[in-house]
Amino acid sequence: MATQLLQDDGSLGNPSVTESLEFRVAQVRQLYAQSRAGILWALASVFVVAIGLSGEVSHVNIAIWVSVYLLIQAYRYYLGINFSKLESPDETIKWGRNFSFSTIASGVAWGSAAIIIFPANSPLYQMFLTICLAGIASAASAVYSPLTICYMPTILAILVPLSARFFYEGQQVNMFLGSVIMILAAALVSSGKQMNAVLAESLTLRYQNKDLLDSVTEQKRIAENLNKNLLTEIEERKRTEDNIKKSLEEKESLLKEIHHRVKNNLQVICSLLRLQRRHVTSQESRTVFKETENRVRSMAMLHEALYKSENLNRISAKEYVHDLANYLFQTYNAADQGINLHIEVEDLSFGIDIAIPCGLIINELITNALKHAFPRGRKGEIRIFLHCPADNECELVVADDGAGLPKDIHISHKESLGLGIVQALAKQLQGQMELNVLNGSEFRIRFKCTAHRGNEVTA
Amino acid sequence: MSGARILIIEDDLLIVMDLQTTLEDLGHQVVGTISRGEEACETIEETLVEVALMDIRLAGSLDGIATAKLIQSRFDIPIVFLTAAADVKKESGLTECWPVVSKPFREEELQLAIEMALENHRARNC
Repeated sequence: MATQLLQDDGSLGNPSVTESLEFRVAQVRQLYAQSRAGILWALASVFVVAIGLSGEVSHVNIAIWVSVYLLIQAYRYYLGINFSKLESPDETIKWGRNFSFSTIASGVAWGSAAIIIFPANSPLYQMFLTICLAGIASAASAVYSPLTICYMPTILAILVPLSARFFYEGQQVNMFLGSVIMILAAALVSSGKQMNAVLAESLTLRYQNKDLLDSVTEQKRIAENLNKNLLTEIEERKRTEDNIKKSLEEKESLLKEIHHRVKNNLQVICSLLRLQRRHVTSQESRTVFKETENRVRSMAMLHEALYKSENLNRISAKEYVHDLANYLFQTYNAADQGINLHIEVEDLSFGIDIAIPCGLIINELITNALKHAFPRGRKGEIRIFLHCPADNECELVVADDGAGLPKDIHISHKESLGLGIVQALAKQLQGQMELNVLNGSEFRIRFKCTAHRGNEVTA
Repeated sequence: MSGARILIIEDDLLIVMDLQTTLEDLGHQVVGTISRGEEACETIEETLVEVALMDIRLAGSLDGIATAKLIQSRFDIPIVFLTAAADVKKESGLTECWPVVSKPFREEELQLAIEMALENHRARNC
């Protein structure tokens, strides 16, 4: 409570701060801490005074005075022992009040010395008593300064009766001493007040520091919490990342499985075609089966290329065209017949939507050229070009320097399934096909594709 | 070369039919066709097998690689792998030694692989 009030207005003397319960409790604790040794010193002093005055003053009076004083001190001692048993702040405040009253009572006992055991006949012993009481009052000013209610009445209780006694004696020197004692009393009260203020300030600072410490502790706790949350978040992210990675690996493995199964199914189709081929007798029918098998195989090669590719959905155009053309050359023993193969393909990668039609077109055109362009042992060359001259356009050229197509042939010739397939696939690619029959035959197909720069080409 | 005595280990029977006629057309003799790796050793014991033509995915609990290891531990015969998986070489140590034919296979590839396997075996490379 006090700490909050200090935060709003930390100025010393702010009534709301100094009157707060917590602050008052702290003052009582200070009083207790300072006065513990005071009881012992007071006891010692009382015996010094008693013994010192025993030759001048009635022993009965001294005995009464010492007895009263000891009773008060016994009560103070009892309070001192009980302090550690206090539980609530209210009890502490009450203890402070009781202790202050006992201290004032003790002061009154000291003050009563000026009446009960005053050495009226000996100025020397009067001086002795005066010095003793002044000393006790000074000590009280220092020791009981935490509480105004404690130090101020005590000082006055000790010194005012002595001063009054001197004034009562009436001699000039006594009047002078009485005045000096009053001045001393005023000075001690003033010094007690100053000490009280210093102590209050130190308490206020302690609260401020406590507040600062609390704030630092709170900030530390917040920082620790933040750190903890951050660590949790990092862990969660890592876990998510691992899950994504795992899911990606699963996806890759599933894709590979699909390509594998596709290839296996294509193998079954090839096997069926081959088995069927063996059961037909005419050469023409056998050729048809063989050509169909080649078409299936060109697709199987594509799946193999996809399976081998890094991202499983794009293939290297260069590699695929080389593999496909070489496979067809081997199938038809073209190299042995003196036919060369020339391939120029840009370093591109194609998605499956582009790669399958392209592969089948190449398959048909090479097959067509190998079947018709080099009759009766004629030698020559088949050339394949694949490049993308513009950002969204690619060009595929398959050409040969063979006998050429018949002059009257039209691209959409219904009798040639191969050419029909090529035209359909060119259309599927949204492409334009051009046929040049000047030196052999040259098929030039321009088709649309996007983002083909670098190694990325998509349909 | 003269034809070899070949055991086909493949679980797809249409492919088995194709393999059998293709191998016979190529001049080989198919001495047995089984679909499970577990049956391989028994068949090899009963029949004189010169080459085992092995699919990598099989019907039983043993795959082609495990079956090949089993065969190698008991018999001294060459193996030709046949698979639709393209990167099988990376996955098994055995296939570095014995040829792998990719599905769909061509007669020429099959013939070449069998010749290579027999040659490697003769030269004690594997």
